[in-house]
Amino acid sequence: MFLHILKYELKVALKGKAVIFWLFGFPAILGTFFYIAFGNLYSEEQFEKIPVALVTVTEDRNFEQTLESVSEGEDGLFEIKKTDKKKAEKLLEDGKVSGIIFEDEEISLTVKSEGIKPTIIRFFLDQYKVNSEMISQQIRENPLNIFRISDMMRSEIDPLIKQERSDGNQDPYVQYFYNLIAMSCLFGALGGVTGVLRSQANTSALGARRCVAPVSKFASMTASLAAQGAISFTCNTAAMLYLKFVLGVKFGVPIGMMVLIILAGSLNGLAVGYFVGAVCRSENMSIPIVVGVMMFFCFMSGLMIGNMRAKVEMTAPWFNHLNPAALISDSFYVLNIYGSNERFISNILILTGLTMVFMSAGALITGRKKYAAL
Amino acid sequence: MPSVVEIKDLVKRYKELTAVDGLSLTIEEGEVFGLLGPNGSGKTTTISCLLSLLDFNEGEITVFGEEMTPDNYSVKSRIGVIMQNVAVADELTVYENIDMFCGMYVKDKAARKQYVEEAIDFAGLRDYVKFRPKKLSGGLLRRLNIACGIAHKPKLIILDEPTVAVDPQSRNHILEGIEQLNREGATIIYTTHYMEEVEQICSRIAIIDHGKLIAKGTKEELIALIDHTETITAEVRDFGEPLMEEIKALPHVLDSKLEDGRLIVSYSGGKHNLVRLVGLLNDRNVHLGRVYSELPTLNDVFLDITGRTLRD
Repeated sequence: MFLHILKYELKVALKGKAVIFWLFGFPAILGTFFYIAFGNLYSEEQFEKIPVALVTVTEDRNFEQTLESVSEGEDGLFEIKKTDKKKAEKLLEDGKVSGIIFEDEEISLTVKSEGIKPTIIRFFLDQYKVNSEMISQQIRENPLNIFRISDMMRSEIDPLIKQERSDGNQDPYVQYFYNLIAMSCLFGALGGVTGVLRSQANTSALGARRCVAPVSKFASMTASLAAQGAISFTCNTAAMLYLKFVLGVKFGVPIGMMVLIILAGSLNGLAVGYFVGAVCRSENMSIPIVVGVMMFFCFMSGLMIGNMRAKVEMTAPWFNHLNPAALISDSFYVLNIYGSNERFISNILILTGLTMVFMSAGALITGRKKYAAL
Repeated sequence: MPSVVEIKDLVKRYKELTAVDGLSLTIEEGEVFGLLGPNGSGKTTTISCLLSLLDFNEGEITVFGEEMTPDNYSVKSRIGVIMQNVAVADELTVYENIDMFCGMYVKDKAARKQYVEEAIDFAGLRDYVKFRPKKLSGGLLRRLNIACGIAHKPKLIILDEPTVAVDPQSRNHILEGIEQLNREGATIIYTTHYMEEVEQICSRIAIIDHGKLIAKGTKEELIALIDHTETITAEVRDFGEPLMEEIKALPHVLDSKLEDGRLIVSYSGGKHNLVRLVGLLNDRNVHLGRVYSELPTLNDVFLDITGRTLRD
């Protein structure tokens, strides 16, 4: 009986174009846009040092050290020309530098025109300001947390810090692809909502018909969720394979481990959807709530704003340990930079624990065999 | 005949509202049992309690002699349900929908295939087997809904207002189908607020309102509950009060009234009422249009008992 229901639930799920779009189409399209926007920004063969004039009014030793460290070597970010204001303006006018950094009490930037190089300089300065403020604050308030914050910054789009390891992907933009896959996994929640709505007598006529059939509720619900979970996992894996093999995104993570993370993430998304669907009991309520919750998780993990996860770590570190999107993207990051380690295992275990909590809560709500009202 | 369904003193409350109030019913094998009542009278709630979908406050329900519980799969496997709302998967074809639901009752693949084919023919869906529900008209969709509920050849079929928003052709098809299922041995419970349907197909009827049983019996037994036996309507020109008094004085007349150019006279028993009335009107030189006689309907029964019509 379970297999019979599973077969048809799979058919239904495969024909549900909206779910397939959100689980495969959307991440594939967004990933393609990401790739076009900055996929090759850090590729070695195309990158040239950006010429920058540095005008020092008030010396900031920390800033200069940081600037020097990111400009060292052949693959450094900037080619620094220390000079005075007049000469710097002439260099900018002649197009020999892409911008002038004024090192005063406030660090500022002057550019002649907009473009990719001035944008990178501005981005570097913004990151420096945000991160140096974060570090200063943590040193004042919570010195023990400084190592974790530092690590978070490294995982963001942060060229301030040299990577310790060279066999992973050093491109900081790969973090966006990690977050994209995390979002795609969590969209499996739509399947969880669908699964529960299709199985409950008090949520749909279809559910009522299934409840009057001589089929155990456990088998019926499990078949629905298994089908939705399988579709979610397959679509997310297909999206990852598209990003890896068609676009050529270098995740820096072995494919087997990526599949493992996607499995844990897809199941977590499914469980959250199951729980929300069980609580809300209506498609009109469940879908907006679940999409809102998922987008919030993704936002807090840095899908929209690069260093959000580091900011969260500074203000509410516990949230990063409970945010499925952050756990998924951090699992990719950890594997990329360090290989499998305790943090990766911890991430996967927490993710699985959250999945079990949401599944159990959903089962408690939907487990009743009779309803007070339909 | 052994009883298929027994409901004793059923009470279902939703907070302050008592949806079913001490309802007792016995439905015997081979019956087409009509559960008649206006919208909100408690029909669907009663059916949901019977199917063990809804928890109820008081009472007992047995089906095929066994207590009806959500886990009583032996009983459930002998019941077919056609819900008020169409319950099919939009993503599946007509064939797949019927097969999916039939497969929840019938494990043997060969038997199931045969049952599905028979259900398709029964519902007149042969030309639409590869259609998805959204491509079907309202009537065909209702037929698919029925096919999904009866494909496994249940012994007890519960139809909850299956003809709502259905065109006359599909309605006839559905009603004829129900009679056929009954002839083939199924006991039918049919809920509706369309009295014509109940009059057409039901062997016994229960009328409920506000969750209470108002009356039950065959159509004839129900009609016998009320005083009036015949209503004669005549299209007339206006006439005076003295003639109306003469009409009221005729034998067996219960009531008479003049309404929109129509004289409506109701009777309690008696023979040749039409002849006597027309004779009197001719004697008084009243010009007559159409004149016709009607026997009482279930709506008259309901009107007589509750003071309002079934379609409220």
